[in-house]
Amino acid sequence: MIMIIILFFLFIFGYEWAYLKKKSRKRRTFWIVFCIMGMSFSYCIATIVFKNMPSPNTLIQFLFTPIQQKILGKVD
Amino acid sequence: MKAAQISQNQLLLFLILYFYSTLVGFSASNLIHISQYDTILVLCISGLTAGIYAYFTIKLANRRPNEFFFHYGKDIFPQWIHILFMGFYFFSFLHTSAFVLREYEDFIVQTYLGGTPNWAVGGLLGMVVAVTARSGIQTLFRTAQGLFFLILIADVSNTIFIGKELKWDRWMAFITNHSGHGIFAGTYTTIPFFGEVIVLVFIFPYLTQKNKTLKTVFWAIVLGLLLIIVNFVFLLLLFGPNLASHITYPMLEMVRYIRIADFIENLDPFLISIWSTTVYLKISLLFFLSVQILAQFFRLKDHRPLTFSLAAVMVALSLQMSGGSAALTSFYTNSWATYSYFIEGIPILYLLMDTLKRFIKKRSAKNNKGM
Repeated sequence: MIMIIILFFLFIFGYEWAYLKKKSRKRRTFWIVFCIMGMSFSYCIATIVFKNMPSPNTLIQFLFTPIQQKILGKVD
Repeated sequence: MKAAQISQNQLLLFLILYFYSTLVGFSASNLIHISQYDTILVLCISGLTAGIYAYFTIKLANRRPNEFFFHYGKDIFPQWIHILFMGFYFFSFLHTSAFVLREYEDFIVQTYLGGTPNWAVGGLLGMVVAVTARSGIQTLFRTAQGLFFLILIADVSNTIFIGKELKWDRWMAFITNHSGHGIFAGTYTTIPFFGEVIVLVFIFPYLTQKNKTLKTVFWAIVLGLLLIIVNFVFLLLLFGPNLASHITYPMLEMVRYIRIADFIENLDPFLISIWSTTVYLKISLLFFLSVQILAQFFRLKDHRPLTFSLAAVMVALSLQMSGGSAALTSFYTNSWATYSYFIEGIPILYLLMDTLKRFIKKRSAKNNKGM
């Protein structure tokens, strides 16, 4: 699975590099695009390596379930 | 960022499919469970509330029709609050697209592609969504326009063929069986589906003939509701509320009832084509909006170079967001609606603040004149 992710990111790295070069974008754009790509890559790998990573759903449920239960009562 | 052109006709057809997509496909069982025969009433009230949402959203967008919400929002709220709200929206759109993608993955894997890993289904659909978002919003709306009639034909054929299987004597229950709590709880959980009409505030600069938008949205709500209500009435007439609420995908079971002339015994592909297309359109719009917000935040010339990176995040998030279908359903039934109200209420907050600011400005100008 990790190999597939690495291959995918290698492909999009090359693709976006060619796109930005062709459009002669500023150095700043290169930095932003590849930093976001780096973060995206890290997140994808982290979801594989750390299986029990907390998900945003847990936070949303923690914040909003009590409010919803107060409004609606317990719906089973 | 260059403003594309979306015609009112494209907006109308897109919104009908948007409203129809997940409500009928993935939420029918839960809604029928809560509201039973009141489901139709619940849908009508929710549609009405969507009209109110749309009115306020369009009122806000109409004040600066050619500017993007991301850009003019900081004139209404202080910049840091505005950026915080935009951060919420960025996350919320990405999260909702991942959520719908996960529902689709679970559906396909449980029903047709048993043994196929979720990441394969998510990866493929995610790739299509990324390519569509990269091509721009105009492509997305054109796609909806092109696919609308195919979807309509498939849906109408399904409903026509199922007609003879229905138990029409259940009709009376729509008039006699009511529960106040069922209507309240059902409406509470259904309004956020239609409340997603607030996406208009983000796409407003792309629209042509902006003065007709409210009328278009009104018709989209009416026609979307009609399409949804027909499906729900047929579900209730065929299965009754108890059975329908205990089936994960009641629409699928309904289609499996269709038998045509003893040789066409499986019309599932009709339904899958409808679902796949409408779900794809919904995910694509939400995903496009999150990419657009990020591109506007970094003041990039166009959003394209961010699409594949964020698509990877969307697919990973869809896989990571919950351990299984049960956890996903629990998230949906216990907290999604309230969370959505918070997100969908933000444009109304902007409108209130803007109106207040204008009022104060007008008043102080009047006072200055008087002196």
